[in-house]
Amino acid sequence: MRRAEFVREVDRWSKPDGPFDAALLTAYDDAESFPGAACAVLDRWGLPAYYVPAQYGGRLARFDEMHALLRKVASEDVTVAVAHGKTFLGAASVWVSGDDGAAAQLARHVMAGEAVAWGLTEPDRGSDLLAGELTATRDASGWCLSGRKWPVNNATRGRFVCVLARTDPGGGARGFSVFLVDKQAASSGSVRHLPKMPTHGIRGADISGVEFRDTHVPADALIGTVGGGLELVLKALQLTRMACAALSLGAGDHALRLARRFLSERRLHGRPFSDLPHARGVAGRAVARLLLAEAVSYAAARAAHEVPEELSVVSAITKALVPTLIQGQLRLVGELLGARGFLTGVEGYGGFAKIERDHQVVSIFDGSTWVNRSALASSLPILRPGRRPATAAGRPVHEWLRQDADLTPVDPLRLGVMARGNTVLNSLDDSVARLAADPRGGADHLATRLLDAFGEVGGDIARLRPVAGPVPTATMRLAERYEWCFAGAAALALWGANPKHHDRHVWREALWLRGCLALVLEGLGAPAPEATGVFDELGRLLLSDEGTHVSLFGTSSEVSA
Amino acid sequence: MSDIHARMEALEERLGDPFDPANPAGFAAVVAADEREETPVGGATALDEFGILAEFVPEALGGRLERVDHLVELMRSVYRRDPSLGLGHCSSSLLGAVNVWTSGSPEQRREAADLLLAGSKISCAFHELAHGNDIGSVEFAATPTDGGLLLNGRKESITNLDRADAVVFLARTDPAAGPRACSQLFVQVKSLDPGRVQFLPRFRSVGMRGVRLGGITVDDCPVDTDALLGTAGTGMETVARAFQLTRIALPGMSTAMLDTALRVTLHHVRRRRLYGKDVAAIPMVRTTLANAFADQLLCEAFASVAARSLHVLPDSGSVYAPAVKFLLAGTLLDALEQLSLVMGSEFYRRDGEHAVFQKMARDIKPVGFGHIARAACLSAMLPQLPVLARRSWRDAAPAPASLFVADAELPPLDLAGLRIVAGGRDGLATALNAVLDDDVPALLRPLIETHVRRLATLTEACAGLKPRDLSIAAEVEVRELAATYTTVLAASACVGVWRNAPAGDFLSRPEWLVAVLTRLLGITSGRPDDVPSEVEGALVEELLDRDDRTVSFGLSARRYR
Amino acid sequence: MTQPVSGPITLDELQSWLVERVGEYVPDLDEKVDPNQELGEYGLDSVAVVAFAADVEDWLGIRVEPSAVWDHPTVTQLAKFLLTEREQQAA
Repeated sequence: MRRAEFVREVDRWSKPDGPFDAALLTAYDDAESFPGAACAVLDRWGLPAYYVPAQYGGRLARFDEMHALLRKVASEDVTVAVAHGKTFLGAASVWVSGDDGAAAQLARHVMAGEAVAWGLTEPDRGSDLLAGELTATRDASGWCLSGRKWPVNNATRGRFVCVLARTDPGGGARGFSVFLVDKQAASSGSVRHLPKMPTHGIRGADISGVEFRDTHVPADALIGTVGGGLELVLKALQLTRMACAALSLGAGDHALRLARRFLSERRLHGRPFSDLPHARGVAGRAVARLLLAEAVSYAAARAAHEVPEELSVVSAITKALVPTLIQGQLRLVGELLGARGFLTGVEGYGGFAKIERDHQVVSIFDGSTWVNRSALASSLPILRPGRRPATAAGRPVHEWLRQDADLTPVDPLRLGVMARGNTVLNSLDDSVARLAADPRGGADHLATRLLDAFGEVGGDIARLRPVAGPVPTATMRLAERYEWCFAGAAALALWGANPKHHDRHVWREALWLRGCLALVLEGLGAPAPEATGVFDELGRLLLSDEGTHVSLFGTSSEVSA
Repeated sequence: MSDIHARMEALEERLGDPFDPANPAGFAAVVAADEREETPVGGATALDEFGILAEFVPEALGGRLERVDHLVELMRSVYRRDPSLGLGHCSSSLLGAVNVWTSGSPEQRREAADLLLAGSKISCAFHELAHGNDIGSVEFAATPTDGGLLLNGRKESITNLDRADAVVFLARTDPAAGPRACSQLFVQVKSLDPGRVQFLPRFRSVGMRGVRLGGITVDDCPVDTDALLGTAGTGMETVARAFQLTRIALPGMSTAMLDTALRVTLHHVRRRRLYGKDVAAIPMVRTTLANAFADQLLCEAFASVAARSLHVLPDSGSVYAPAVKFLLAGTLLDALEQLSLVMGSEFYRRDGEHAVFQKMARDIKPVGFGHIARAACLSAMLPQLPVLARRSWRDAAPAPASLFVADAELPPLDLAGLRIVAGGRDGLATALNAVLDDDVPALLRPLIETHVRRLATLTEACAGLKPRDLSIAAEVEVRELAATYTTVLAASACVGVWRNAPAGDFLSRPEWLVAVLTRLLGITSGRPDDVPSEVEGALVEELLDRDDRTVSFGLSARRYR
Repeated sequence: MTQPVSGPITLDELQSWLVERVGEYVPDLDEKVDPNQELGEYGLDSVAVVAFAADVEDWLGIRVEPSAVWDHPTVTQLAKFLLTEREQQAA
């Protein structure tokens, strides 16, 4: 299988003097130079093909697979994953548009290793897509672009840049359109690059900008319809936000490797550090956060195939929750490492601070935690329990979350901007019932508590009065609780869908599930008394022989010998 | 020199407006220096001209150190601009010197005072990477020989080791373990045989990059016996007294980083419009600002009360100091993280007018593990909890008002007179039990009752703990009792500050107390409740007003430049 | 929540229902909602409009995409669109 092969390759590249050698990548970071060699081997291996949907000749047939590859890259270096994976983000609007001609053409370029940037942000406009002032006006044979996009990842290095441009001077929801610009084809001098922005993390990445000065682009640069830009971008973001989760998971894998190593070799007061219950507890929490993040991401990736019409909500939850979970995980690992997590040159641990700096970008780009949470909050009234389901029931969750399930091919035309249901969360009752029928390790008690807590959340949603304008704090907090419920439901559904795994590794005695549910209940403000014990077990697991690859299904964080 | 308030004002004046791009000690210079892993020359010069190190020398020795609370407040002027300058140029010398003040002979005290008064630095060489907070396990040895001591070993990650004129070493004088195995040595660097010492390359770090972290290896280097601070074997005892001061003072100074982060965030949001609205009017932004302001106030209230307790309740510093370090560190780290959500992508920039934010976010990190880690703080408090519970926590008695009032007369500081254990005396906790005897506004009563009940529950849980429960390997639940205890102490400190605030002062109003008592309830979980909506407006209004008037966001509300 | 309508509905009824509903989203609004004003002016921006679209769905018993509000940004325009849409979806 290509994924296993990729893991082996990346591990090989990560050896001293390889393109992923940590010392080399640290040096790039220090010098703020682009990790070109690492990106080049990814190109040579053929990773770009996974950014291109199979229908256009690429290898992107399953999101879970693409995410696993990106996660592996990020587990070695988030900067490289950001620098390389950005092409998927840049191209996503084109895939989503259903414009087969443009997609086929772009597919060829991407598979040839051309980078594509995604120009959404403009100076001082923040996350407000409709505030953009880069304009496109019709000219004789196409369009004329004027304005700036900044900061944009790969703006300088990418041959292509996909921009959201104002096509109606009045703006508004129908006032913007998407254009794919081939900078090589633009007349010289009409495209200027804006300088690289010095950033806190991902210092080697090409975070710069592009300025169009009456740049002529052909008519077929327009992607989708005139005025369809916002809709296109909102849909593309649903796919890219889930890819962002893979970056978080990789960062979490990396941090856990360091935590495991530290716990194994550290001694304190004459005894192994790992003898101390609080050290194991902190480590166990870090493990649980990674596993919960994985469960959410996994369910979300498959939801993209099976319930794409719900993806506006699922992707918002994923993007709000997963980077936050991992940021918290990094904080816990940092607490364990102490000075070693702060000093950048200590052998074996010097990379930790870089992981933390690099990872912080994930909760910022493609819509920050708050932007996503606001979007979810605005949708809560539609998701209230009891609102009639607007879509006919599709395949049951427990079927499509089975690890070896065949997935429905992705159909971008089924994406929408308004989810009318939440299949994963609605499966909660059923999942809890399944677990009750075959309880393991006491996970059923935790599940029952979650059901109660979700009942309360549902009640609060039913009482919610939607208002226009910015979301009130209380509604944001309600959305946050909804995210936790979703995460718990995803974990339970994964458990129920995969009985084959129940006796192996982290699945034994439902350990991972209990860890996830304990975290979820804490997030919901209803901490379970058994949490301390569960985290202790997970801490022990990290220290055991099986702690080298803490993951629900697999190999992605496996450490090479 | 003049009285403390005049000095505070003079220091602010000398360091100038931090937002002024032309100020050699302003944020622009600070960020630029940080990029070079230095501190701004202009800032260091201004501090030298002010004679900052004299602030660390007791009055009796010709310096200006009179009260710990004043020292902390004065130093906030440095930390708010550049924590690297605060630690690297200033308070790191306090770490070494305070041991000399506590246990040094008159000659040693004179010598240390003369060095600091002349602007020379004293380094504190305790840390060894292999032992971290477990400083009792240091391997660096001072072996008695005829007429002297032979030094052997290695110290790592030591501030200013390569440019200090004197060093305080913590060394093993008895190869056996035990509380009498270590001693402290006060050594002039020029007295060390250059052939027998080797300075290690600088340790680089992700934050506080301007602080010069050095190291040393020593090979059979002779020193005089009179280098010993106190008698041989008293090293840990001196630490236990002397560091009570620094474990309160350093986190106390660090609150100034939150002040700056909050001020920069305000600058950002007050000038920005998003989705057609003032960002400062977005509910989640307002809530986060109010939360951060409340956190700032509670940290400073606890730190000032604890600082004064070293004068007023010298028995109890052995528990109050780790309590302050634990609670402030966690709160400050959380608060910075929340503010970074408000900053959004602006947080990620190392350029522009808000670049100092990311520096603060990195510089705050050592507050969690530096000097003493949060986990070690809990370990330090644990053994005392049962005695405190049995002897004090059921009592109710008001504490002296001087504990809570900014400029009340205080008994002089007597470092050598500080106790190593509190002997069950806890005037702050008993003061909380006494609060409800008096009139309390209806808005506050239930909250105060909750904290009083919390202390009662804690008393029941702690009174029965056995010594074996309290070791370094204590169970997580037991350690959580110590964490909860810190919130009770902080609550009592805040109530005392409120009760004793001058009429008409913001601190005499109930709103801020409602806010901080609410925050304290959940603060050790990392997920404190938001400031209640009924007081949010009052806090935001005060915050904006303070921003307009350029005064501190902390307890003093003193004028800042 | 909203009780779904059954049977025929007039343009006027539809319009006044929409006006009333928009008013609920903007509780602080002093004046009456102007049916010819763009909904974005009332804070029903591209994101907030999803819940509004769902309300309309619940009431009319038809599918309404938020983009309908983008394409028909005033109450007057939206009412006309919805009336046609309801007839078509019923057919």
